[in-house]
Amino acid sequence: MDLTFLLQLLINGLVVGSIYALVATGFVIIYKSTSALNLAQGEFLMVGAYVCMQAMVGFKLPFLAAFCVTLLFTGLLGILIERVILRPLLGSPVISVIMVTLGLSGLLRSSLQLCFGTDTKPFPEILPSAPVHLGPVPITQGYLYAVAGAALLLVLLTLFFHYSRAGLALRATASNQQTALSMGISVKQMFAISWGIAAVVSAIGGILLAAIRGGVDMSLAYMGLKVLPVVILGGLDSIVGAIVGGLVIGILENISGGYLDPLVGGGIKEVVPYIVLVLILMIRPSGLFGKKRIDRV
Amino acid sequence: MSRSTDNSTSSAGPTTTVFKNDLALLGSAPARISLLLVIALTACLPLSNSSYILDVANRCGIAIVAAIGLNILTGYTGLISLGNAAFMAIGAFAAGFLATKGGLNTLYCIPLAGLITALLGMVIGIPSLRLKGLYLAMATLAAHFIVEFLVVKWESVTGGVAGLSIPAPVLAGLQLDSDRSLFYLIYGVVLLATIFAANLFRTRTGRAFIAIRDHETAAGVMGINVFQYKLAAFGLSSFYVGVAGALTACQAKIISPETFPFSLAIDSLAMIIIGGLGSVTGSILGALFLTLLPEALRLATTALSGSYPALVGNIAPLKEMIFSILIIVFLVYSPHGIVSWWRSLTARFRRDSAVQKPKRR
Amino acid sequence: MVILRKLAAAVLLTVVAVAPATGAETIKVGGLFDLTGATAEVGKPFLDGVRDAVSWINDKGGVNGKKIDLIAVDYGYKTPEAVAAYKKFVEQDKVIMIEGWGSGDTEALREQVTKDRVPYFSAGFTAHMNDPAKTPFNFFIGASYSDQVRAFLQFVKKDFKDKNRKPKVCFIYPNNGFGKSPIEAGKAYARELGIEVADDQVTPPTGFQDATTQLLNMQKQGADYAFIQNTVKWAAIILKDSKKLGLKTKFFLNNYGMTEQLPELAREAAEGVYGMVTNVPYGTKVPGMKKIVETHDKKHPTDSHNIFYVRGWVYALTWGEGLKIADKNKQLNGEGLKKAMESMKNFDLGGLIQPITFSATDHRSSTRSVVYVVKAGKLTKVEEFEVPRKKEWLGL
Repeated sequence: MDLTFLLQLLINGLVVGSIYALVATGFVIIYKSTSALNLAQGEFLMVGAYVCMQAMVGFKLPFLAAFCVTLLFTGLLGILIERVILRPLLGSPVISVIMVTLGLSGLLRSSLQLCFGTDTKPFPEILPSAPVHLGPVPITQGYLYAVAGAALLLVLLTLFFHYSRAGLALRATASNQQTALSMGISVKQMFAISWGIAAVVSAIGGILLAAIRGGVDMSLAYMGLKVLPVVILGGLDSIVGAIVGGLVIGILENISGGYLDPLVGGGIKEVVPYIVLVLILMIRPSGLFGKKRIDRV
Repeated sequence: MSRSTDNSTSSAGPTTTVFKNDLALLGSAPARISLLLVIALTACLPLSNSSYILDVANRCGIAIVAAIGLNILTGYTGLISLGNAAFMAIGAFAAGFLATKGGLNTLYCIPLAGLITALLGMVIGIPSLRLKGLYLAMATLAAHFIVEFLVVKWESVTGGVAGLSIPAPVLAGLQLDSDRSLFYLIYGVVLLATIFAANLFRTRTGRAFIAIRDHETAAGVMGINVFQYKLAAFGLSSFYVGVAGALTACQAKIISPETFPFSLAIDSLAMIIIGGLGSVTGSILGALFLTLLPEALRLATTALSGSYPALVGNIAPLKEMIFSILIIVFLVYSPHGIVSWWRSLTARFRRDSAVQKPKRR
Repeated sequence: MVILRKLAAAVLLTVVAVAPATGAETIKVGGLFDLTGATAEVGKPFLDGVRDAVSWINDKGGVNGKKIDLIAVDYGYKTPEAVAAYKKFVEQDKVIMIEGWGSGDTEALREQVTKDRVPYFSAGFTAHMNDPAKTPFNFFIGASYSDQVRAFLQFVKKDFKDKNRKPKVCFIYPNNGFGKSPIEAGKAYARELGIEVADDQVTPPTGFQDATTQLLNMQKQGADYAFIQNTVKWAAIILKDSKKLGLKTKFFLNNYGMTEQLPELAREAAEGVYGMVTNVPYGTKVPGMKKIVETHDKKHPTDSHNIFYVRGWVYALTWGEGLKIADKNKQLNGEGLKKAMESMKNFDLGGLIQPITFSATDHRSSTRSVVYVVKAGKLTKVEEFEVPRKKEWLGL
């Protein structure tokens, strides 16, 4: 009985963590190539969910078409945001970049509110609702797609960064902007591309999350804060780190929710990731997989 | 990483390097006039019979204290904090605990709350001091959620989700419970806070903060104990913010964990960025601007809702949109904040001025 | 584009806006609504309902010829903004009463409204506010959260068939004032009725997407019934996870969870879920509904048609009636409105809500809750439960 309980917690942690991993990946892509901390990641996710819903419910598109439209839209939006808001701030102090993404999050949130209102909108049923049973453990199908999505994304991004021209250029930009510039890489273009990719990845996470929940509203944006412990744990500049970090945080949340919450009357589950964040920053600020180039005293 | 600050004019002597110092010392005619004007205008406010106006003024005052506090840490010393709301909560609940469970006069609880917050701020600061830039921002963000959790859970001290009811401060037998009496209390604190902060940056300690921000290694080489001064900045900043929290408690009369949401930390940061990083005047201008803006927008919304009821639902998100756009526009087009306009304006009046208009990127 | 157009329209209207035309005599009512904050999704239909009801009352001759002027403010669920707006209402607008909203603003203004003698109606149903000895100017309309939980326990007592053991219930609620408000009362009554209570399961106040750990813990303790004290969107998440885990527990929701949106959001997980309803859902066939549907179809046929819209109507119609009585008594002020409200006895709104009774010593408008169940995606009435009007339960 108790073993089943543990197993349920572990597996639920893994599948929930896979969503964190997806969103964190977008976060890391931006940080890796532009050194910007994007606190509007949660809003990107929300934009993806709303656009997909609008395409399916409003424009009556089939899911696949709506999915493609969403990716295209969010990709372009990411590029546009980089061009208009982030680029003028190149070389600005960290605080300006952090703050501008906070402003951006407010802007995206209020735009969505204007277009769609504030109530929870039902999301079309794109995934079968019957759970899949993994031994004794039932899993929502949407989460399986998230697991598959995270795995696929890891492979795709690895291939992209190692074999495609743009990917190589992005890596070159990330490791040394000056050298990349002198090699004829358009660093600015690379920045725009990375924002585009990050927005697309988050949008996929948003669509999955909305499908699992069955509804879209402003609370989806909380995911943006939830991935911060994930990326610090995994290392701000490591995609593998983002995925491993996502899974670890997901499991930690569930284990603490299962065993600690009953002892203190709830609430531990939500705060454990932040405690991990502080511990990691104290012990190993570069995270599990990040490059050690942190600025210390 | 060039950041314009008050000491951007290095050509003048030590007493007048900084415009804000001029203010503190009443060094120049326009500064003297404008300062007198501000004080006179503020002093007129209690004449108003409207507790609405006083309420807004009081919230402005509290925001000013919190913004100056955050600016000491972030603007002057270069340590980014997303934990301002948490520090305000610590101050508010410390004051609330001392006043309700300790039976102290709430008036004395205000400085005590500041001290407690300063101590806790330094404790939180110690591990954070190894970190810089966005890592520190992350650590303080985590601190916010951990503090929030503790406030909810530690019911014997904080009253849990139900919160605490704060008794009115008593001064010389008088209950300070009306908006007007709180006005005198809050603006008394604002005055002290401003004078202290303005003078701080003429002292060795204040200069050390700025040196650490501008070049930490160089500051260390020059013999500044970086660790000690960073800790001092954390403590001093937390003291201010804690006092602001305690004042919030006096004003709100009932505080709960929901009184200090994460968005409050963002608002504080927005205040010092829009007002001007590393400037006391900027903190004041930013705090006023961001407290009055929602108020103005709300009044406009209300006026409109009478004639165009269907619009009210749409105008409401516009409020957030305008707020966000302003933050972005300021960061992109006027990174030195409102205070830079102010300075260039006053510079025109000062013939002997060595103050240059901060360069725009 | 839509935003741009709306922005342009708003700017244009700001320029051309004129003060609302004031007729002969108006009665000013201040309204605090949440259109952008944490509870905006229920706040907007509620405002629509209040506003439509006010214009309906005004069209029907107003309050004995005087028109009601509703001054609506969006306070974004931020208590300091509510306090500031309140002060403006009372001093500058000289309103006679306030249509308030959640527990935060109501708690924060509790002492102030008593001092200013301004009746304050809230759409939060915390029992805390129904003891006139402590909060003489606070009103809410419908059974309190505590009485809803008590009705739930009565239902459990009646519904549980196994004679060999006691039924076991579990409370699931968010960690805030709203969530905790009926829990103590519920536990005390459960003890009285001989119902076992499992460990509470607590969710974060907002922003959770997964409640599996809470439900697994509940499953461990084997709860037969669970009461979710939360709003519909969070309840839907809990129900979906419960469906996934295949729990046998019977779920109950309060009057912010049991809404038309529940089957839309939780889909099949909503089937067979029970909930308490204080005012009837939109479109229910009762005499009072006709005018609501007509007004709705005329003004904004595409949105707001839900239980919260009806709630807005119920509130405005009730205090509208109070204003009429106060005016007839030549006491059109806060004190007079309070007296008028307290003179209401079995005031019937054409079946929109249980008949309303207030008195100077008891601000419980009703202690009856109606249990509904979701059947084939529709809210269907099951049974009414009346909780005794015990004096010692005032304010609890």
